[in-house]
Amino acid sequence: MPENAEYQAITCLKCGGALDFREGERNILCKSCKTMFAATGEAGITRFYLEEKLKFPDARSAARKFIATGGVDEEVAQSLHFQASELCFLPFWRLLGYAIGWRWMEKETVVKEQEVDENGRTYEVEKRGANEVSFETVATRVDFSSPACDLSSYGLRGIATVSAVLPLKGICYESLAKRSTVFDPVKPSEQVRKEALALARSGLKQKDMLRMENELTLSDERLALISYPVWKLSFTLKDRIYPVVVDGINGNILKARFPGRSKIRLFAPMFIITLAAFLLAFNMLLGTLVTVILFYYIACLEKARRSGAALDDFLGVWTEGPSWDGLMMFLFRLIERGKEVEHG
Amino acid sequence: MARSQDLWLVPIVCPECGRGLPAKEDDVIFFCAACQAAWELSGDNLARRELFVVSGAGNLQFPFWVFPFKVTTPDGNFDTLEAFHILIGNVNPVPETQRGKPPLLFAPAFSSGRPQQMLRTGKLLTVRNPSLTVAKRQLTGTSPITLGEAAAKEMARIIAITTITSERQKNLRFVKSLSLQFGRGRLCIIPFDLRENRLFNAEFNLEI
Repeated sequence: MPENAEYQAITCLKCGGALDFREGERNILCKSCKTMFAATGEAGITRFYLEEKLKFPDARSAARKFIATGGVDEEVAQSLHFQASELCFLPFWRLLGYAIGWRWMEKETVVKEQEVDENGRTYEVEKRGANEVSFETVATRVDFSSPACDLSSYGLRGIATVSAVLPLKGICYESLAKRSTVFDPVKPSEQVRKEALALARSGLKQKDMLRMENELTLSDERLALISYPVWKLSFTLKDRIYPVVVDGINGNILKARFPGRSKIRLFAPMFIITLAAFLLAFNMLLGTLVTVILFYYIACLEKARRSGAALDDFLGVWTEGPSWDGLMMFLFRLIERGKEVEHG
Repeated sequence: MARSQDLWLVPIVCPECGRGLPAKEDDVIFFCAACQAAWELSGDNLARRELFVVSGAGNLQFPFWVFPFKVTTPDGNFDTLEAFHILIGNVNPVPETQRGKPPLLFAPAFSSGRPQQMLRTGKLLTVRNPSLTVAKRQLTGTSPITLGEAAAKEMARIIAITTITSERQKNLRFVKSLSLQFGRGRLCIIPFDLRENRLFNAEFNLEI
């Protein structure tokens, strides 16, 4: 993707001036020619995007900085090669409005009654009273944000605060798609409404409630689809690819995976060799048996590898199968790679 | 995916005189002072809406959607003001001229940070159901109209339920069986006076 690619933004229809939108606003004033416009979209849903504040070199620097400080082994960090970058716009639903309706509740009540014991002393006892029924109206503001597709691989969960603060741009899919990957929403708008109402409904529950019925509906709804920028970078080490997702607004690392630190392992190989040598020196039969078990163990690991089990946990870098090279590597390997560094 | 543009901009200009209409960021109704006409965005165009100012004294003018409506319950139909008074337990007599008319439901057309207050305002006006007299004066200093007819109708349904007597509200079967039918909404501006942080309308004998 060219770094300085030109693209067309939604501009004033009268003077061509740039237009900045604020979340939840229905109308927009062109600051240049003072013309007022009503913003709308398909099915009344407005589509905006947040312009990336981080350009590609900054995103790569942020990723490199994370690699240097995020627990990745120094040698591994130096061996990682930058491979590719992709600017992605991830869709989020934003819903503002009111959740209004009613709540009908049946509650348990407790009544205190005075009783007299055989000595004539009065004491209080708590007894279950008649159930109390109440009805009340509900009206709350709704401020809901939800990913419009599965974004778990990008490590981004919500954009409520950012989209409320930063100016939005009107989206023009074709022009934006020329310089980036624009993800389409998978989750339908009706689902977002249901989720927002379910969230509002969850706040209605009360203690000691036996039964509750409610009816909630959305009013003065402002539903918008906001695309959020992230940089998806990939680094390579040998044949493996390590992805890094960088927030296109603030440069935070949202998701990353890197090879772990290398550790020196002395105990396992030295113990096995010493044991075999000791047994062979004092008891030839036992020594031969241990050596056979050792070979059998290696064969089992190979079988496990072929069936798809993760061998790295057992053998570190050795995944080549039961060969003499493999055996020697297992016995004399002093450096073991730790678990991968994962973020987000 | 073939989409030319995902955000449409409609210039807010009076379709009759071509003047730019003043609008705030949340407005859904735009008022042309020169033509004394109200306009609402409908698709890609501005469509005319009926708007009238209710007579009365007051410096603050609040917009409301007024819907004629009909309530159907297992106990029968409540489609006149007189029948509605029975449903809500209002003992005030209905003037002879108003008896056969459909009840009017008042839903706020303005936004507030306190949505419960919006429901309460709508309830008080609906219970009072004042007869509206159109004032012969120009519209000035009105609160922004931020709720469209569809949004107001959603609110109107809840307002209607709040007006019925509390004993009937506690009857879950009754509340669930309520069926409401609304007629076409009209916008009206009601003047209020502000006294000690409360809104007064002397004509309707109303305090909010």
